[in-house]
Amino acid sequence: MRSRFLLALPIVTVALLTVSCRHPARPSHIKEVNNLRLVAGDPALKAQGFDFTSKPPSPPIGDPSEAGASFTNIQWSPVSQFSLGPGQSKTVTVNAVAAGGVYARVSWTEGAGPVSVLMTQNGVVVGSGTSYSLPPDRGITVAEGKNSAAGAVSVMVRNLGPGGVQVQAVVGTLAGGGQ
Amino acid sequence: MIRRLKPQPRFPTIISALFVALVLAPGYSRRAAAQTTIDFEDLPANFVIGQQSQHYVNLGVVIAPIEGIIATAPKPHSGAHVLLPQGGEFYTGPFVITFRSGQSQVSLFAGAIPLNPNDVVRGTLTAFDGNGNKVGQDGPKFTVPNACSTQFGVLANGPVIVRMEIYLEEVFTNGPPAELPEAVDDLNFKGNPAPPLPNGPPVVQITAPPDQIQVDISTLSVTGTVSGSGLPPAGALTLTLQQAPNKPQAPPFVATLLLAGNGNTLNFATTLKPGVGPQTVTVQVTNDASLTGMAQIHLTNLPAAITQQFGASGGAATFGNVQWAVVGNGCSLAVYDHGAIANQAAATRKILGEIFNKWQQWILAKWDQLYSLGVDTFCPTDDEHDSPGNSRAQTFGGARIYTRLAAGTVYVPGVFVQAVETLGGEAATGVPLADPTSSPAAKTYLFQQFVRPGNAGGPSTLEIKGSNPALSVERQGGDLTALTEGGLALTVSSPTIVQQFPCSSGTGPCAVVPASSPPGVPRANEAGEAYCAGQIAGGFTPEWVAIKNDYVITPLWAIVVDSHMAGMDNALLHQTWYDGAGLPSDWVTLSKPIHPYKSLLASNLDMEVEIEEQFGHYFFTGWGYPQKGDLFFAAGRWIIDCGHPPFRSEIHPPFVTADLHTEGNSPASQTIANIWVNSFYTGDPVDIDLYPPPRPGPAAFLYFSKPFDQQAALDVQVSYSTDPDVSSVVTAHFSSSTKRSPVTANGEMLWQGGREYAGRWSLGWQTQNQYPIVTLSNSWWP
Repeated sequence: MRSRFLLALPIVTVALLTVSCRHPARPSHIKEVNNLRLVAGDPALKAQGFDFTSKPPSPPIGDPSEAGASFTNIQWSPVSQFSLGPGQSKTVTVNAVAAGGVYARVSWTEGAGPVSVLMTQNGVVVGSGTSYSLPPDRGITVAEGKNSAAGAVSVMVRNLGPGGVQVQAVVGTLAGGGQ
Repeated sequence: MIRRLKPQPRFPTIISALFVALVLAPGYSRRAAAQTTIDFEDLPANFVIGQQSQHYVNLGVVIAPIEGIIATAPKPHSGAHVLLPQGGEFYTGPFVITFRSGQSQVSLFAGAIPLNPNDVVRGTLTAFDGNGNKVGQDGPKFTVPNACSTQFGVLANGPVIVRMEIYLEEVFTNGPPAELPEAVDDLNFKGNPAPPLPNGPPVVQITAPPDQIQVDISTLSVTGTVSGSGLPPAGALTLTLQQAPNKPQAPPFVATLLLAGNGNTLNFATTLKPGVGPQTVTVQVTNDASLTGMAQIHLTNLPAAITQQFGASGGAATFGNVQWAVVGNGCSLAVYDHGAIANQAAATRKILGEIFNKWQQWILAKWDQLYSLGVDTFCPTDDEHDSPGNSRAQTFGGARIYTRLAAGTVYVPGVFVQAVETLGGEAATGVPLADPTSSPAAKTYLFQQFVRPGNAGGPSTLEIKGSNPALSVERQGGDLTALTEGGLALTVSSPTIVQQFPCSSGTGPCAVVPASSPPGVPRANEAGEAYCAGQIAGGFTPEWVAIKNDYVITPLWAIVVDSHMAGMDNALLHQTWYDGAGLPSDWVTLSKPIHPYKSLLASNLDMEVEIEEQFGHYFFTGWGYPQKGDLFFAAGRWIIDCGHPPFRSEIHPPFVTADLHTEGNSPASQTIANIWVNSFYTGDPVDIDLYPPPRPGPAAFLYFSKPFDQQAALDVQVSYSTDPDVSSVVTAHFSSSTKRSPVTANGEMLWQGGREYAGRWSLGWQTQNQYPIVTLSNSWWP
């Protein structure tokens, strides 16, 4: 893929190559310098260093065009972080103020997982998750459900992997929502 | 020599011979005192008998209007000399010999050299009286080729012959005969003695047109009279145009002017095609005593519209006197002492002041190409008018001239004028900073800088350069369209946007076309159905849908109009977020695409490039966040955001970005490019063309820096190249092994880490003084 912001430039590469053969390039002046930072020091390279508790680096600015987007009305519970051993599970309960949608995003690290998510209300399964492993030691599960009435919704997170994992989960409800 | 094809009647040779026998008695030549014989032996070879010297006028013989020259071939009848007509390459006879007094008998020996030695030559001698009536004729009859040995003669009843004409022609086997230069020897005549020679020159008078007339004509009629004795049958008319000074002058038009009538007062009347502008008509008549009389009139021939404009604009007080004029390609130009007036396509325009002075330098420098370029090249196409920065300008067919600039009065060649007008006009490019220059050794054939008065930022550069000549238009902020659309002003930091167009030569023409974008997002007006699984009202299952494919890298070049943390994001579909009411996650770079990347827009007018800030936090905080007004490159997944109508297109996420701005001031300014290849990068090759600020001179070459690869790249290969002449662009090449980040059912591309390039490239110029620079002069004027 080649990208240039030259506009309307029908000069073919073949011509340039031909020219470069006939006319040796003038000495180009290039200087290699120390980088501003060593790229190897970027924690994101290891998908690490993410901080869910600090303030953003600059004030968030809302996009007026997104004001009507359905996701903006999801009520998110505080982020839960916990450990799960092999086969262990943990249930997070949220209170839906009305019938609608239930959503959960679960991330795990330090283990292969996967981690499953099951949503129930009054003993009835209302939703489940789809897991995406990010080998070798992490992954996410995205779960969506539809609660038919107001009230508590249980979200059970279970480690299906052979080793322990660190889990981070966030659960939200959307009155009248759900797809 | 030239042959005139002239059909002649064919007379049997025997009849011609009998005629000669009847009219000429044996021993006819040199028989009596009243007889005169001229054998031409008294003059040296190549002596010309004519206007300068009528050598035999005292003997009563005048050679006119065609002059004669003493020659040695064809073989003379006697001695070593003959007389030949001096007609030059375009000789057309017959050869005329005039007698100043009436003769009763005339004879001569004639001959010619045929083109083909085997052809025969046929001749006729005809004698006329003073009224132009034919008195007698000898011939046609065949002559001896290559020898002046065939005698012709006419005997009249009394001394009435005043003119004789000898005509010889070559007779071809096939095709009509053709005239040959007639050689004459031993001219013999008998009659009245020659009258005394006139003691004064002829009096010549031009009766029309009058002197000092101003006309608008395409045909000039000249009439007049000549008085005196010993008048010749013809004079000479000369039309002399007043031309541009100090330039090669076209020769005057000279024509033979036949004199009609009898006696001591003759008339002339002729028509000719006049030139344009001031000119002089001269009539000269030389009498038998080689005394010349002359008359002269001056006239100025200009289109009436020019004359009217001249008068309406103050006349000589404004323009001075007319000096010269040219016409061609529908344009008439009259040049005066202090200005010029042009007439083209029913429009009449003035050229005055400093613009006139520059214009005159231009047209005189291009004088030898005036007609190959076309006179209309120099014809104004508008009147002098205001231009940016309190300057004034006037446009011509092949250039524009500005005045009241800091640099004075400046010339802009037409190829640049066309580019300026096609690519946004003066507001987008500016007015010239100085006259154009050139450095052919540096493969820069035409170079000129422009400034945009009232705007920050350095000069723009227009140049034709390179082994395959191309017009390069280099402007901070480009044509300003994207900045204007984004409500942004040009600043010293504005990035440089370059456009290039192929040219036929180093001086143009160039195929300049306005920038445009091809058709954009397919079915953009029904994106909910086409891309969002029927989520007409918006939703997030899916939230983002690739327009092409999740891993097809789509490039975008745009001007940043905003750059900020998102106010609210959907935690369900983000891997990271910050503490806050809306769980903000994404860094949003909002931009106005430049052509041809406007095609990436769907219903949106801006292009959002979104990536979770924490994925790029190390890069952003180390190298900088995109800033308003920056030139922004993003290559990544081109998607429709299905979250809500109207459905917008985005680059989400970008795999490769470059954020460009300018630092420093020209000529030392640099383009700063912060380049980031992130872990979403698929590994498919990506090239980024990086342009320095507008080139400061025609002999400046690229100078750039980049970080050591080992400090900037992890699992990314990076290299670079330049244009062959190292005078235009540095291209950064990126590649890596194939990588496909997982994509959820919602369209979220999952970050895995493991791959990155982050580095700052800077690009500037360094002038190499070994390449000479050419400036405007008579020997170089583009």
